[in-house]
Amino acid sequence: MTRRTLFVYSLALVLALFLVYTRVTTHSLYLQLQALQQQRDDFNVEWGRLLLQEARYAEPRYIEKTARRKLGMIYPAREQISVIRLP
Amino acid sequence: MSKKRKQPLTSSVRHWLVLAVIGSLFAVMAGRALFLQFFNADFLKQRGNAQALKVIDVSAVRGMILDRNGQPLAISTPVDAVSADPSKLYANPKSWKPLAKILGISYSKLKEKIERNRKRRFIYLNRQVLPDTAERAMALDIEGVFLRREYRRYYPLGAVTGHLVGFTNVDGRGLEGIELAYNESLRGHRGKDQVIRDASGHIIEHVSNIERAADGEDLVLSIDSRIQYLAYRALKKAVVENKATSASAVVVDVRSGEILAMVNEPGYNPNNRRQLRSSRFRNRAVTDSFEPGSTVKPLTVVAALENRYVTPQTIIETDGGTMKLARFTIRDTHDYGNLSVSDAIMKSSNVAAAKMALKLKNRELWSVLNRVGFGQKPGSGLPGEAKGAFQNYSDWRDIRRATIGYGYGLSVTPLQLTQAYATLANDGRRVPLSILRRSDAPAGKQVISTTVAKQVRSMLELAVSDEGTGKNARIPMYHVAGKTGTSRKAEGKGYSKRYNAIFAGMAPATRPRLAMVVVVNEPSSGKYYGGTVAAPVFASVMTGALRLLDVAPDDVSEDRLLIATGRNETGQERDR
Repeated sequence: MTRRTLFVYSLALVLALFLVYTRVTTHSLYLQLQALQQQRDDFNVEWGRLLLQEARYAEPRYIEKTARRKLGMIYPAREQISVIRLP
Repeated sequence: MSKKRKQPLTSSVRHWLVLAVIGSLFAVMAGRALFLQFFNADFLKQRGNAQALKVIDVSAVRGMILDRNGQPLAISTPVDAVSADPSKLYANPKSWKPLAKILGISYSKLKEKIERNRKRRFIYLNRQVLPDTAERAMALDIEGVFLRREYRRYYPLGAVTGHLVGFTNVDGRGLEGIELAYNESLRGHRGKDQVIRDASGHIIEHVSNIERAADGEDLVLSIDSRIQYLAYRALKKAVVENKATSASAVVVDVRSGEILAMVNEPGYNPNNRRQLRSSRFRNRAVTDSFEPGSTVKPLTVVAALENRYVTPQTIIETDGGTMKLARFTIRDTHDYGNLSVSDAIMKSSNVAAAKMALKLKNRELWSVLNRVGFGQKPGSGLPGEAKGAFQNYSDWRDIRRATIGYGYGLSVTPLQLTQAYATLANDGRRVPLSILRRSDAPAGKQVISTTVAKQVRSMLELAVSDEGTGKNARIPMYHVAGKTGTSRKAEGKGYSKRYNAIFAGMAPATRPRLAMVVVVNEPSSGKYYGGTVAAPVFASVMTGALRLLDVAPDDVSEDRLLIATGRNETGQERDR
């Protein structure tokens, strides 16, 4: 065997091993990607749920009810309101 | 010794024999491989790819619809569609019962569905399933059952924003309202991925991305959900109390042209699909037109003022409250005697309005109404906008001009009327309306002179004074300007005993920020005047809206007014 053929064979071997390596890495990275996508979806579900919850608490009806019943607040009468005008 | 009897082949012969057998086996295999590789390759490659290589859809999330402060009005949450390959499921009837139970569908229905579709490769078993239910269905580990990602649309404010926001169908396509009008930008688009799947359908390798998925864009509306809620509540109350058939209300920021609230009755809750009946979907505030009645009178006055036929102090005789014109009689509810132009608006005299209209040329009256947007679609961006009925002036006779002068013989939508009043409120500058939040106010166009707009506005302030027809529209701490309207509904040839109660107004009157129109259709529990049915709705919504928007009060008595002097940081000299 000449030195050149030897070189070509060993190059082929290295490339073959490298191919196997990239395949394996691709697969494991893909699994990671899937896991992360799943995680992203879960976070999105959670975020949507929290947004809806926030919307429920920010609902004017809820705020008004809480202010009136729980906190005993009333809307001030005209005589109770002063207006401060800045010079 | 027996070994020696059966003479074995010489080792070299045996060696060659074994080699030959192995060699020929190799030759066969190599031949087969060569044959497959060179002659059959394309066919086999296709077959192999078809089994393992698949193009799958990557779903895109529909964008959110938000109000001007970032409150969600429509939001998509991921759910699953439990789907199946019926050809596989058909082979496994034992699995049907537990599956039906988890999915909450009847066994017989499921059975029927599978049997009917047993030749097909895809069916939905149940759509829009909550993720944990879907997970339990998958835990049964039935061959041929899999999940497809879908999104369910939630509308946190429900009926409050029902007509405005609209809704989507189960496939996420907008069918009504904003969801329909902005469907393209909201929905985004699905992508495609090429993947390799194993026999049971799990993705084992991601080959390539054919088309990138793009999520839909979020849409920020001009609506303030707090004011929207106030309007919804007040309008609903008015409809119930007055036994009305329907009603609409619109609130607009007069400087930016942004629509802050738009509600209609009867409403519907878009979250409850069973309640969806098409007769309720109409966003009446933009689609339904009505005769505006007395609310047009201020515009007649605008025309008379700008063409210098009258001044606010000009006296008009109302001739005992009746006026004959051709075959018609125009009537006032009382005999008001002699009225100034201001008083005519305050008392809402039909005779005075008709007389002013008769002084005008057709073109002069038409021009004002045209400039404030009558007869044109407002262009707010909402679907189904009507432009009302407003004919060109060329064939108006005197009677036509006179009746238009007090609001009959033409029709407008609540949104158009709001735009007209917003223009008066904005010192005569007409700003195009928008349902989307604006970052800065467009310049608009001066369509009525500032002087005339201000003169008419002070007449509208009188109209809500103690002697005016609209006194129920007044609110504490703020000056209000506005006009009532009570129009009979046209029916067949004449006018029926059914009414529209209308109020159109603005606040604070000295420097208007908001304009609002309320229209209540066919109030039937006794009261039917715009001043008694519609004006209270205006008052209750405005009170809250001005407070929520931090608009400075312009009607504060001297003793409640403190002037900050800048010297009171130490806590002394707090009062004047």
